[in-house]
Amino acid sequence: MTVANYGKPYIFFVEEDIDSNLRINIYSLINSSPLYNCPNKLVELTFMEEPKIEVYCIATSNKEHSNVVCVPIKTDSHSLVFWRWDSDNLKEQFIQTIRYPVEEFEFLRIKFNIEYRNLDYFVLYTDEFFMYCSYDTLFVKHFMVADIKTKYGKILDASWFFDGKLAIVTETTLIFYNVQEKIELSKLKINLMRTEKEGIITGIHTIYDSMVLVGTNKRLEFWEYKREYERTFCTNFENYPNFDFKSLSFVGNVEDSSVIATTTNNDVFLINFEKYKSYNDAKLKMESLTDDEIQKQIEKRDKNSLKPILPSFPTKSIEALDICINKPYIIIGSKDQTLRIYNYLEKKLHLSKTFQEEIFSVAFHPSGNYAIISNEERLRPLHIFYDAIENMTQNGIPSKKSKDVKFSHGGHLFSFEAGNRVEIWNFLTLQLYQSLKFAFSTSKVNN
Amino acid sequence: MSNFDNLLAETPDHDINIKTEYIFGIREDLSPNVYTIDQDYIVYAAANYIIIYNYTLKHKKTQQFIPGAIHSNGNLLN
Repeated sequence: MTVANYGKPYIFFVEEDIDSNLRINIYSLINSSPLYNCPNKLVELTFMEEPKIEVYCIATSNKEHSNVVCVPIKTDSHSLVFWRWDSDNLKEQFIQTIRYPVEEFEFLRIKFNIEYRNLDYFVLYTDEFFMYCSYDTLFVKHFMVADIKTKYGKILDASWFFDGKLAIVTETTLIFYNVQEKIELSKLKINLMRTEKEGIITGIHTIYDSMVLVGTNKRLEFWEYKREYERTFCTNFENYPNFDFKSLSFVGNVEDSSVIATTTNNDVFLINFEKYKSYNDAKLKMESLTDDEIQKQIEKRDKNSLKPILPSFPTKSIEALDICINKPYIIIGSKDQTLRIYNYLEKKLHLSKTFQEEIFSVAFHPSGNYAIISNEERLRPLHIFYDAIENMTQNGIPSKKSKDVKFSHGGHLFSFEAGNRVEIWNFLTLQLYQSLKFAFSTSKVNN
Repeated sequence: MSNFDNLLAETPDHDINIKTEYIFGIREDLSPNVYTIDQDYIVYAAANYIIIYNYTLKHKKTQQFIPGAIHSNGNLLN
């Protein structure tokens, strides 16, 4: 999936149909109104290939008169497929397929230079080296301008600047590269002097013509190229454990100074870094403050500049779900051992708690103040407080991997599957009320 | 004709329309998995849908959906 802006936005995504053909769908948001109500499907490109296609990514050029879609795919041989499409008469035109032997390349990502309109380069990189290439509107020519192997370890990410320069981050180095003159402008060994607090680099994004935003598994760092890279300021999201930035993208226009950051925990944040810049300027004035006062100001700044815009979601499959009758809550239990409660009216995550064991089923009390989850060895009744989820009892109720738990309509009783029996318990006293067993069946109760 | 058939016959069509209101979740196997359109809109994938999401409170966090194609096997590759 990708988004391109030829003045107004287009959305591209790739999917596989029932015949294992590759379909590239292009949707326009131009005529949808008001405010992108219904996207219009413009073109559907179908690409027939042998089975077991693996798509690495989809990338587009933003140059107005060369609407090119590029899809690196993996079949028996690695291929780069270029399509050109015309937004005026809506007819696609196949450009060229370029194939490479498998043993030579392992594409990671392709990035077009979308910011600098006069240069129609794109960068294609693997874990060891990168190529930057140019193409014409009708057919690829001058392909592979340069093929450069880095000496600084595995390439993690690369990003274009507005003026056609390239920032490349490897395991140990941040490299600033001039593509046109084919010279390495500057490099800085960044990982060698990294501490555990600083974390390991996971992605970069370039801003303006000299600033690089580096995401690590601990924080965001802002680097600026002057004569050489200088780390100007960095975030300090210590309230968010495992804050592993997966991808970074720029939002809005330059003046907004904000980025969308996605973490591997499926959190999507809007981060305003203008506050970090102003903080950095004001830092000199804070010399008279004590360390505690500075720490308080940092915490306040981080809190104000970090805004979650999508409710956090489990990283593994959902195993159990229930809906509350009296409150607008959905409760889900996931294979990643988390229990999450969403408010479906406010569309936000209400509460979440991580358990030591996998959750097999969940039931929400009609009042919305209690819930029951089923673990490997026992059922656990829970209190759902305003700001926390707590166990009601220390030991819970013995029951192995119960796949179905349900409350009665009034909430005073609950039942669960226990092998080939159904047990009914009193929720107020947590005592067995009745145990039902089917006379002619020895198989497990499913529902 | 059963009671249920009678009930269906009496029910006007517009009463049984179901439309997607909101999708919780995000596809994490795509990278990058979130894009921006402008200051108020982001685009991301969840299940076999592309979602255009207005995350501002002014528009009540509304979502618009682009479903996978009719012949899709449900596998959104990228």
